[in-house]
Amino acid sequence: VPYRFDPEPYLPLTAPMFQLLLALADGEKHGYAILKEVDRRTAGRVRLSAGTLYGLLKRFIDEGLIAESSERPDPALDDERRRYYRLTANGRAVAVAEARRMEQAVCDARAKQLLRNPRTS
Amino acid sequence: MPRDSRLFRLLVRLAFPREFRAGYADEMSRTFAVQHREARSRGPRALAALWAEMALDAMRSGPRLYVDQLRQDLRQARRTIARQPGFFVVGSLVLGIGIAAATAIFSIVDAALLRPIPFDGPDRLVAVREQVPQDTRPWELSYPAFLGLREHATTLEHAAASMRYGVTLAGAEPRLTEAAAISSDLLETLRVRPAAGRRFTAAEDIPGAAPVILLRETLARERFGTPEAAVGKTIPVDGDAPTIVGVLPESFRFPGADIDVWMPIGQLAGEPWMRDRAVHVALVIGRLRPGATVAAARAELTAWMDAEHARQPNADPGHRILVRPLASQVSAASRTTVAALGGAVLLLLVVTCSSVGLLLVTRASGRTSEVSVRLSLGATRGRLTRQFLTETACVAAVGTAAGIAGAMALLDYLVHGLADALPPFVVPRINVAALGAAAVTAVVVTLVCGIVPAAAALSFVRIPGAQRHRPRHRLIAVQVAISCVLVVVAALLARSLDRLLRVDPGFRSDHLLLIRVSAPIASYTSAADITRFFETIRARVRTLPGVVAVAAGAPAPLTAGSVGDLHVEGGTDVGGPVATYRRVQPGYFATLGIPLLEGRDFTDRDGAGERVVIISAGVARRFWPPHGAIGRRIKVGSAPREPWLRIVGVVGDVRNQTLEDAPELATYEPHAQRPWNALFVIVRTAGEPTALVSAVRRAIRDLEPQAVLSPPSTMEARMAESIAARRFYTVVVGTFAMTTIVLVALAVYGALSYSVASRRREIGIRCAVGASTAALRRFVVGEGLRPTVAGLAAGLAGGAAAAWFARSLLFDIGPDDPLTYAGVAAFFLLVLAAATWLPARRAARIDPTIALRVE
Repeated sequence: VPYRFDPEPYLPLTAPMFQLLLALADGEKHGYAILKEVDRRTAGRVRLSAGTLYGLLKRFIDEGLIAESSERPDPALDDERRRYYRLTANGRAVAVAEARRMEQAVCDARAKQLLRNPRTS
Repeated sequence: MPRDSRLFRLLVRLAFPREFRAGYADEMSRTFAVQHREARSRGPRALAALWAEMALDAMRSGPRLYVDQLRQDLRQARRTIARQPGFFVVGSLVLGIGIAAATAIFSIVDAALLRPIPFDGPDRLVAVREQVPQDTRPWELSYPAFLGLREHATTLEHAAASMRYGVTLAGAEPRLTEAAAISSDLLETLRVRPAAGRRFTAAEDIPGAAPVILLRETLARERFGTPEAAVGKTIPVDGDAPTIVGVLPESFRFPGADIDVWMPIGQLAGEPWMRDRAVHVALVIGRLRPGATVAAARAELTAWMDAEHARQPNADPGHRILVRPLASQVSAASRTTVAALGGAVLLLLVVTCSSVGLLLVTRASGRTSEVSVRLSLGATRGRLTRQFLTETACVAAVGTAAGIAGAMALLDYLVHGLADALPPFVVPRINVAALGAAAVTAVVVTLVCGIVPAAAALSFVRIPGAQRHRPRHRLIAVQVAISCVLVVVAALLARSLDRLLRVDPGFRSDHLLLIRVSAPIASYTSAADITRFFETIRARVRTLPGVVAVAAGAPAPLTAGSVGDLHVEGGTDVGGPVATYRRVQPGYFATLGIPLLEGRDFTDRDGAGERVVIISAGVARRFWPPHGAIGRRIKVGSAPREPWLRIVGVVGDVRNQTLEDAPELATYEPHAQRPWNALFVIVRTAGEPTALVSAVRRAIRDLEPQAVLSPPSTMEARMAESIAARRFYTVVVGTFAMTTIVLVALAVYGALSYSVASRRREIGIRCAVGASTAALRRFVVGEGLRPTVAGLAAGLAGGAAAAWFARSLLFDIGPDDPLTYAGVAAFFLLVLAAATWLPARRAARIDPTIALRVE
């Protein structure tokens, strides 16, 4: 029986968890870069502090959703002590599943006229 | 900046688990450094905001990481347990047994010995009794003595008396119920408020006052619905209809646990026996005045009693007043029983805990390879220690839960069995203290038994070799010693019980049926009426098929009888020995099978004419040469007023009160001489006594429908009941002892099996160089027995010490009985040899070629 990863048990994610996975969706980053990107993208709505960030990183690494990257972008540009993190296939599956879940919730809200339909431009 | 950086590191160190810090503290510091630089450039407010955020974040995510870690440990433990469920089940079960027994017994110990009595200001309450020269047990006071004491005692704020007796509660089926006569200030003294209504007043506590009564809450609810509804109503008691003035709460159990109604003692004060200073019936308690001490009260009351003696030289010579805290009224025997059970359960607990420890140690030593693999893969020693502790905690948690559940079931059984040994106001229930004891036990077990195997497993990696067996051997020796202590005590108790069962009570206990019958007071007013009533019963029951003999008498054998001073004509008038007195019908001795040694039995003509008495052989021996008693005259009771009784017969000695006490000096008067309105009708039957119950009851009811009949019992049941408490604690201690033996045998077996399995190579070599199978077996058995010998020696010595402490529980056997010790030692060697036999046989069957090849 081929093994198929089921992201369901990880859902729903908290906002910091989702934002962390999202931050790694387009490539590997080090800790500080993740902080900056989340802060910028959410305009400060989601604040990842050091303790929360590294706590989540440890947990996701233990669960196999994130891995430490062995490749370094450009040794000249980088502090070699810095550790980089990347999304695993499972981590990506969980992020996608969470996004779908939220999408479904928005659809439901629209069906009930709670939200207006998006403007078609 | 370096200062801020250090501060941040300190914050991380305080808030986050070590394992997390090892992986991420440096990263976090670097990230913080960048953030710090940015914030500083934006000004002090941004810097302050950054610090606030960091502190808040540490407080939030630190604990979460600890929880994550715990969850991970539990997951790991679950996996390990799932791999070896047998170990987990056995461990929890053994621990559960220990904790269940400990929690239940500690609940009882706590209720009986440690908890203050359930009254307000318990340390101010005292009990006042008398020590008399004739008896080792303290006596109650007489009612006149109580009245005098109440008047004179200035150290007591209140003094109150109570006295138990039985009354008949009329109804569809008249029933006998336990009652207490109390002085009006008893409830005031104990500071007890009625659940409804009021207490007695002093005006109600005198002869001739309108009859009033207090009911127990359950009785009030049963008869009237609510306690409030009962107040003001009347209830038919003993042919009278007293008014219910109040209802006492269910929790009030004084002077006994089974009292249903309370009446004013003063209303009985007109009875001649209540005015008699020789009739010791009043249990007197007092409340010390603020500032007064027990010693002061004792001094004052002793002086008062001395003055009384000076005034009335004949009354109570040699009596000493005893003033003791009410809380210490748990009798010495009960205290020993409860303390012995407490001690026994403590030993059981130690054995069960160390068994679990042994199980863990053995298991840990089987995991050396797992430990070394995980260490080399980068797990820290701390991580592995935590892992072992978590597994142990799981065993402890399940064991404790099982233990508490078991304790609840066990406590009911124990309280029932110990009912006689516990003071009336003790209501043992699983309490917080006992739960605490169980929890503490579980924690201690977790720490001790978890750290030991962790340390053992971790140190094995560094120091392999023969020493690894040492902690196990020590634990086994300790277990053998403790188990041996328990077995010695259990064996002595069992032999005591055995001897007690063989005691000759002085009568034939088989085929005897007893029913207590009370003639209704209202219809049977004269002595002649009562005599005729019981004579008619005897005549009617005798004609029933299956009846061999019948006679009535009171009190029944194995019931605490009434006692009085015994005086012999021509002897001194004061200070005679104490003798019991009973009133019996003709044929009583033949019915019970008590041998008539001299003279004659009573006849139907006794009762009129000269007053007569039959004495026990002990009385005859004490006062007269052989065959010298018949025709002499004695008095029983307070000397001057009692009539002289002429001795017409001598019967065999009977253990009338309990089987344990030596036969007392006994006197018997013919019932017709001074009738009592309640007697035990005693029937000797040809077949099974209980088969005749309905016929006998019908015969009595036909004669008098209003007669009050107690539930019938057989003499054999009464005898069993009289030793029930002893049988019970013997069984409990015996069960504890057997449990420890099984655990010890398993421990020895397990340890030796493991040792044989891990030393296959050594045994293989011994075998290869020519050791015979017999020699190998001897080698392994010796290996198994060696650590137990020291334990056995220590255990026998400890058993002797324990037996000496519990010597008051022994009957007819000394705490140093050599046969018992020899038997216990032999028994242990046998059990241990059996436990070593299987591993020894396995060792002897090891094939050297295979054993050597495996390694």
